[in-house]
Amino acid sequence: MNKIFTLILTFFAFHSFAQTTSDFEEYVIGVDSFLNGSVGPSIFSSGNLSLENDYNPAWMAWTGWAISSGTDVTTTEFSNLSTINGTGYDDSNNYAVSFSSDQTIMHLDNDAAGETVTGMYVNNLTVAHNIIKDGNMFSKKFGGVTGDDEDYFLLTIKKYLGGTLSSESVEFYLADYRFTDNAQDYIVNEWTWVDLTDLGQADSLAFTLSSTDNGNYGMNTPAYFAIDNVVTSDGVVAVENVDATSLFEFYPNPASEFFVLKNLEKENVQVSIFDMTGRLVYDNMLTNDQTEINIQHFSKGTYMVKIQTTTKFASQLLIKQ
Amino acid sequence: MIKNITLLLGLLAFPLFLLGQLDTVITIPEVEISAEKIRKQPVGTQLEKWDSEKLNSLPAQNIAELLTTESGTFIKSYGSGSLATSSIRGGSAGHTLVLWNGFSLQSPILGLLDLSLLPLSGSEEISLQKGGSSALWGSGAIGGVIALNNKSDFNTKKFTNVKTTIGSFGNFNQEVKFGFGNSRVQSVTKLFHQQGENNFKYFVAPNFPKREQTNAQVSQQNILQDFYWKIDKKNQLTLHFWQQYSDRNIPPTNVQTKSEAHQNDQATRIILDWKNVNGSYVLQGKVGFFKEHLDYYDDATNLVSLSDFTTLTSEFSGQNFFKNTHKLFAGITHSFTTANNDGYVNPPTENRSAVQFSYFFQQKKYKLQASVRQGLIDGKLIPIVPSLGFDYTISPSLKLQGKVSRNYRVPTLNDRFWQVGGNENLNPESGWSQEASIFSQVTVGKSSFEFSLTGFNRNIDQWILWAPAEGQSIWSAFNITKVWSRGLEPRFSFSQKIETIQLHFFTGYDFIKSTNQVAMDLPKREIGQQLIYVPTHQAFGRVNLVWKNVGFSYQHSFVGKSEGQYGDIESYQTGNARIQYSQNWKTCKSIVFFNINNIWNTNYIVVERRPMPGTNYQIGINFLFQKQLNHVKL
Repeated sequence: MNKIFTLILTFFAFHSFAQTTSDFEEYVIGVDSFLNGSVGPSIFSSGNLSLENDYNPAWMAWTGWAISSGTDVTTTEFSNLSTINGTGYDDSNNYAVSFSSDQTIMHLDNDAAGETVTGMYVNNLTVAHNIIKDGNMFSKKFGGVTGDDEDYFLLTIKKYLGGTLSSESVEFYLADYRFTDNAQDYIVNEWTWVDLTDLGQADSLAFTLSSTDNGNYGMNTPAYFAIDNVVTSDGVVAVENVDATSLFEFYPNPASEFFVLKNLEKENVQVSIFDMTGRLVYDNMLTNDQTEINIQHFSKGTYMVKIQTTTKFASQLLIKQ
Repeated sequence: MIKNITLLLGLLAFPLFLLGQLDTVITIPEVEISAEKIRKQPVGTQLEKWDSEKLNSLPAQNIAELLTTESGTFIKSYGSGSLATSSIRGGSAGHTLVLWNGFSLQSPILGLLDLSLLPLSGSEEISLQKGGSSALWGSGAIGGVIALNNKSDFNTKKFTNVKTTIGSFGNFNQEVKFGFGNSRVQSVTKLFHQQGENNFKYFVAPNFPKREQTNAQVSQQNILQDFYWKIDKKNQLTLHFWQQYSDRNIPPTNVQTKSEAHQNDQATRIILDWKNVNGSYVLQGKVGFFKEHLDYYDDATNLVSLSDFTTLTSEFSGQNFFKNTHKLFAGITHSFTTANNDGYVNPPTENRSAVQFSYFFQQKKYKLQASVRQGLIDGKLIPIVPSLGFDYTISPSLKLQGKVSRNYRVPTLNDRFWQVGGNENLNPESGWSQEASIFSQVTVGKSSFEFSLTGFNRNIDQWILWAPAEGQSIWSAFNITKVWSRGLEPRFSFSQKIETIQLHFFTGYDFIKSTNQVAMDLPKREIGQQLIYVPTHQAFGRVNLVWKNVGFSYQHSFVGKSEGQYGDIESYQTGNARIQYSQNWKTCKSIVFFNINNIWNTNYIVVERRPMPGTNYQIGINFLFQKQLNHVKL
C-alpha cells in the first residue's frame, strides 16, 4: 500500500496542478429559485467556467444552461429545475442545469483553458427522474410494460480542443435499466462524481443526452441534467513540494467522523483528499485558520490529504477508521 | 296526398334508391327541399349513408365505432372512451371534414374533432363521402366528409324512443327521444346520457398478470332540440340546438404508472336555417353559433390547460333548376372565430369567407358537376379550388364515375398563434386529387351481386408540420412537406333472399400508400416513407342475416401493419357480433339486442402505448312508439 502512495506522491511531486472548483455559489438567488436568462446574465461564469444560456423573450423559453437553487423534489413539471434531492452538491445552495435537445457546451476560461478537467458532480432533475420512473403521456417509464426493457438515459461528454470535437468520450448513465436482474436497475438520485481526466486537455466540453425512449420527434425523456463542483486544473504551476508540518497539521489521525485541520499559512489553501485509487473525494478552498472536515461518509481506509497554496504544496496520509 | 306520402315512406325505406331518384322526388312537397342538395349528393364520388332505422340496428355507439365497423374506415382510437380521429385515404385527422347540418364541427383550435364525442343517435342521417370536396365544403374536405343531418318528418303526430344499453366495464347508455307535431310544425327532443368505468384488463406480456386500466371513467350528456316550422307553402324555418357535456379521465399509457389527467369538453351549437322555395328557385339562409370549451387538467403535474372558441357562421345560397337537367348553385359564406388558449399571447380572431358556384347537368346516362370555390382567410386569398365530377351509366349493370378536384385545409389557430412556435403566415395545405370508380351490379333470380373498384391519387403540398427552426431547438409550424397518397378500394356485396331468410354480405379492401415526399431530420421523415398511423392494407367483411324477427350480424376487420412514433404497430384482426330480436305492434316496436365486441379477444393496439379492451359485451333494449298523421302505419 505504501508503494502505491509513494507513486501517487511522486506523481504530485512532478505534476502539480492548481485546481479551481466551480460551484455556482457566486450567484445570489436565494433558496428555490433559478436564473434562466429571462433576467440577469446570459452567460454564467463560475471559477474558470462559462456556461451560455439562450433565452428567447418572445417565446419565454430557454435552452443551454441555467443556475438553479430548486428544492422541489416531487413536482414533475418541466418548469421545476430542482435536482431530485433538492440541493447542490454537499447540500450547497446552487447548481447548474443543462437543457437541450442538441448539445450544451461548457467553456474553459483563464488558466483552465486548454487544460484537463478533473471531474464534476452530476445529478438528475426531479422532472427527468420522475418521468423515467413513472412515465407520462408522452414518455415511457423505463423498463416498459414488463419492466424488462433495457432502457437507459445516458450523458455523453466529449471535448473540443483546437476547434476539433474528440472522438473519445466519457459516458455516464443517469439511468440504467439494462440489468438482467431488474432489482439492479437504477436512476441516479444523488450527486455522483464523474471523472473527466480521461478526456485530457480541452478548450471546452460538449454534453449530449440520449435515451432509449425516442419517437419521430426526438427524445421523449426530458433533456435535463444538473452539474455542480466542477473541478478544473489551471495548468502546471511552479509549486514546491514542502514538508507537511510547515504547511498544516491535523488531528486526530486515525480519525473516524471528522478531523481538524490547522492552516499554518496566512493565505487561503486548497485542500484535496484522494482515496487509494487516486480519486478525488474532497476538494475545497479553506480560508479559516482551523477547519473541521467531516469524513463520516468516507469508506474505511487510507487517504491522502493534500494542501496547496499558490507556491507550495504538501501531503500527508490520513487513516479513516 | 296519401299516394305521395306512401311514395315518400317507400323512398325513406330505401335510401340508396332515394339517392338515385332524388331529382324526381323534389317536386313532392313533403320531401325536404334544400338549396344544399347539389352539395349533398356530389357527382363522381362515393357516398355511404345510414338512416335512423339502420343506425338503430347497429352495435356502434358513436360515429367512430360506426365508421370502423361499417365502412372499414381507419379510426385512430386511443382506447375505449378516449380520443378517436379518422384517417381517410391516408389523410390526417384534419383532412376529414365533419359537418353538422352543413356546418363544420372541427375545432378551429386543433383542426380536428374527437369522433368519440359524437353520439350515433343525435342525427337522423349520417353519411360518409370519401375523396376531396373542398370546392363544395371548403377547408378540411380532403380525405372525406362525414355529414350528420337532422331531418324532419312532417308525417309524425308523436313519437317516443327509449333505448337503454348496459355493457362491460361499467358502461351504461340511456337515450330518450320524443317528438310531436303536425304537417306544419315538428319538435324533436333527444336526451342522452352515457357513462363508463372502462376499467378493462389488458394483456401485458406472456406470463405476466394482466393490468387493469385505471383513471378511464367517462361521462357524457347530450341535449338536442330541433324545431321545424313550415311558415307557409314557400318558407320553412328550422332551429337545431345541441348542448354537450363530456367529462372524462385520461387513462395512463401502458408505460405510465398512473395518470391523474382529466378532460372536460363542453359545446353549445345552434343553427337557424331558413328556406324559401319558389318555383324552380330555392333560397337558403343559415346562421350558426358554436361555442366550445376543451379543458385539460393533470393533477399530477398541476397542469391546467383551458381553451375555448366561439364561431359565428352565416351562409346564404341559392339554387335554380331547369327541368332537372341543369341546376345552378351559388353560395356565399362567412365565419368569425375568437379563441382563448394558454398558448396564445393575445386571443386571436379569424375571419373566413368564401364564394362558391356549382353547376349540375344531367342527361339519361350522364351526370356532370363542376364546382369552384374561392376562399379568403383574414383578408388573404387562398388557392381557388375547382372540381369536376361525372357519372356515366353504360348499362343498367355498369356505371363509371370520376372526379378531379383541388382541395385544401387551412392551418389551425394553434398552428398560427401558439406561443412558442406558431406561424401566423402559414399557407393552407392544398393539392389536387383524382379518382375513378367502376360499379357493376348483377341480379340473378333472388341473388344480387355488386362490385365496385375505386382508384385514387392525391398530392398535398405545403403540408404543415412542427419542426425545429434552423439553428434553433424550439419547434415551430412550417409548410414543410408534401404527401402523395394513392390507393385502390375494391368492394363486393352479395344479397340473397332464401324463403324467410335475408342474407347480405359485404366485403372490402383498402390499399393505401400515403408517402412523405420531402426528407427531414426532425421529425424524422424519409422520401417515400409511409405516414405514421396509416396502414397500407386494410380489409373488412360483414354478414347480416335476418330471419323473421331475429337478426344476426358479424363484422370482421383486418388492419395491416403500420408505423408509429416509436416503431412498428403490428397488424391485427378483430370481430364483432350482434344478435337482435325485434317485435312490432301497431304503433310500437321493440328491439332487444346483444353485442359481443372483440369476440376473438384480440390483444391489439391502434395507437402505441394505448391498450384496447378484450372481449366485451353489451345488452340493451330499444323501444319505439310512433303515431303518424293520416293513420299511416309504421
